[in-house]
Amino acid sequence: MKDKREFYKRIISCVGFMAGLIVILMVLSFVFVRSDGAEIYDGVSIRNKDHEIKSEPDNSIDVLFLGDSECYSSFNPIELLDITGRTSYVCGTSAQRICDTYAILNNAFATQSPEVVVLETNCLYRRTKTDDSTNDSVMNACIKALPVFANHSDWKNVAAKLIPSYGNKKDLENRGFVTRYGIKPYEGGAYMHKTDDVDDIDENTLKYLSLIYNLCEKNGTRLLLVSVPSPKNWSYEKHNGVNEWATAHSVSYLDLNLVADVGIDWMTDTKDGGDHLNATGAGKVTGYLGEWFVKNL
Amino acid sequence: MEQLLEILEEIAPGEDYENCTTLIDDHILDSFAILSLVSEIEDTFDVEISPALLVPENFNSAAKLWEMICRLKGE
Amino acid sequence: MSYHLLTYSVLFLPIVILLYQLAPAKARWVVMLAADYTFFWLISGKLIVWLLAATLVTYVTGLMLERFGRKRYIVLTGVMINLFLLIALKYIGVFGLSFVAPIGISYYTLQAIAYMTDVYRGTIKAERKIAKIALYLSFFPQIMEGPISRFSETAESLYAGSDISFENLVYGYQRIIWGLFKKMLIADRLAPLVSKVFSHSDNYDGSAICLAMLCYTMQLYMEFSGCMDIVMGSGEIFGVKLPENFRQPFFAKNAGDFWHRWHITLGTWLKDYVFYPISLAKPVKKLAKKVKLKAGIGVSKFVAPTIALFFVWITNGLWHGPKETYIFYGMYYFVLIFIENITETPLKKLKARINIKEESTGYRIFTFMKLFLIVNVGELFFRSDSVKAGVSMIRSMVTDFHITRLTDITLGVDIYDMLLAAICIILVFAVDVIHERGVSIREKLAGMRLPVRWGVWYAVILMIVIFGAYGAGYTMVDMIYAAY
Repeated sequence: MKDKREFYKRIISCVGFMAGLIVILMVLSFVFVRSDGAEIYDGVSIRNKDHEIKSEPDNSIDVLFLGDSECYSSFNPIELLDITGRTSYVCGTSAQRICDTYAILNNAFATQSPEVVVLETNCLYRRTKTDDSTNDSVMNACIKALPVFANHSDWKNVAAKLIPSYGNKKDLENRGFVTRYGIKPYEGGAYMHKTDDVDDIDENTLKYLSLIYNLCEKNGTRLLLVSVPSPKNWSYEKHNGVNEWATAHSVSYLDLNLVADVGIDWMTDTKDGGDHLNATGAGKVTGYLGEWFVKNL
Repeated sequence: MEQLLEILEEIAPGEDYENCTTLIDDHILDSFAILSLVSEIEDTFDVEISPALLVPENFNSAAKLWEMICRLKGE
Repeated sequence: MSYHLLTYSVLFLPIVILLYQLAPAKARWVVMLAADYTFFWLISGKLIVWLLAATLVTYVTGLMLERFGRKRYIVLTGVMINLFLLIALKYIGVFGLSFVAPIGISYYTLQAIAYMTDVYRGTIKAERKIAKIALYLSFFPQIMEGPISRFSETAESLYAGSDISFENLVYGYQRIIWGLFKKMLIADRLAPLVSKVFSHSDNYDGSAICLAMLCYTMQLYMEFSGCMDIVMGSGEIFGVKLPENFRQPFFAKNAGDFWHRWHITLGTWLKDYVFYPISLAKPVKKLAKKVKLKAGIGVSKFVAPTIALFFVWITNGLWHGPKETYIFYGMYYFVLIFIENITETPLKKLKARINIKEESTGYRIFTFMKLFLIVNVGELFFRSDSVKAGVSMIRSMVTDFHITRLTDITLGVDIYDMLLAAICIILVFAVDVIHERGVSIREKLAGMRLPVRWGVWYAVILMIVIFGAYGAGYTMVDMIYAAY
């Protein structure tokens, strides 16, 4: 008799513990729900860029640069101002996902009305799915089921209120541009081999690309796609993928990997063997783009 | 037995070998000391100690060591 | 499938527990073996055939040793076959051929060798039931990362089919939760920084490399010991007491002591099956005697141990894999421990003479810092792509250290993650200190009132859910020691 009571007591306490846990998780899910339901990957970077843009006077930026490290290594706002008289700001962030690009742009449009938004295309080929990022099926199920699992990293939003961390002083002075010194040549030769093969942009990215396109349209801003020279990252197949979309949407696309006039010298213009340009390389890209602006805008 | 205690004293001086029963468990004898011990015991008592015998049951106290040596000599 | 996945602790394990408990006691070993092989199939698929082969060889060798007497050629054949399989499958890639080794081969092979050698030595009797050998070699919590156990430690409880006690179930799961805490809050959080700096070390200055080195040691410790917590907890549920692999390693007094506290079961395996056999081998003893006659016992007492130690460390290095960095790692500790051994007595005398007290706080801090440095440098080489890269990283730390530059670079981990990792590391070390004093936290908690008990465990679980380094913004990190 006593054994049976013990046994049931234990079952009840186990079940009780689990039930309590599930209740707590469901309650927390209300706290961790995202108001606009938008996917965000790197909340910290988005918040930082938002802070940077909001520190600028309203409606003072003519050109916004978006994208990943290819973006912030290659476009120099100070030089662009000299060449074209246009102000600009680099909103590129490390390994930027397209969902974050959209979030940053959305925030920027609150106080700015740029003439042009330049999107560096490397970020279009970055995987964007977030909930299948684990090979743990139970974990994936939890992420799909409860917002507390999906959005748990929002704890950083709270932490940021207590300990603000805003970009890097040097980068802020350069309006988001990261000056990369040093030279490590790329010696691999030609890397853009003409082909009809197409590296397709994935569905999720296309979804956000459309959102970005519509956002620009709504604000009367011109969207410009640019691929900066990068042997390590770019290929003709990717060019074809982007070109397809650009043509279909009548968006201008400059693939600087195919423009000899930019004048990139792979012995002196890259810091890491063809992954990113250094300051010299950025100067050439900014110069070419500036001329393009003067001629075409 | 006296000789055994002398050997122990020489290899790792300062312990109470007459009464201690946790020579291995308390790391009083480390693997190096054990080897020196084995070498001296083999020479002094003319026995052969194989790796199979290097277990706490035989080495945790002087008494157990002595039992093992007697067993080996008896064989 | 892997221990740190929720699929393991929330799906696989409960199913096994249920089936095991529902089965009649006599049939429970069948459930266990089925679970073992299912798990193995999930991680290595068809390669299970190698495990089955090893099991058969081991079983037969044991029986033959009993039937035909403990002949050396029998045990050597058995050991050689298993070693051959291990080396061929795991190391042959060095020679350009490609075979795929099943995950866990490094662990079950050592267990097989231990069994056969123990039977040869007469320490244990040969096992007649092949099921027991099979269970011993394939126990699913042990198969991926150890601990390496002996037949006498686990064979009986694996076969016994005892009831799962409530206490074991609860304690076991509590230990699993703690292991997940270590891996998901600390190890996985530090992984991107470590990975970034170690793979492009020439892009970073000495201070970044130093940080990466420290983070790697932490990542490795948290992950490996955390994994051990999951594994031990799993074993505990079934009443199988697995040997510990960690015992507060950073409290060690020196490198030798460190290896009695880190990856303990590998150390004891090497001690019993490499160190002693070699140091007691006839040729080695002969050499030691010769040296004793020429140079006295003061020198000759180091001959046998040093030779044996060399083989221990070469084996330790190579066991991790056929990489030069692993061999370097083995030799690094060989040299350090050798130096520690020969300087032990002279240093003791010196300390007595200048009146240094080993219990004084100053001395203890000094020993800690020295040990911490030794371990970190060792792990740096362990992780580097090559010895050359490791050396240049060390040089960088000494010559090119600019602590202010740390704020300038993106290291793959933002400041919030770093702060959180630091807090959690302190928490884990606090728990370790308590354990070093011999207090069992689980028992203490079990004695407290329900709101406190539940509160603590809810807190730990919620910390994993909210602060765990998983999902969006984080990358999945595979287990480091499963690759060995």
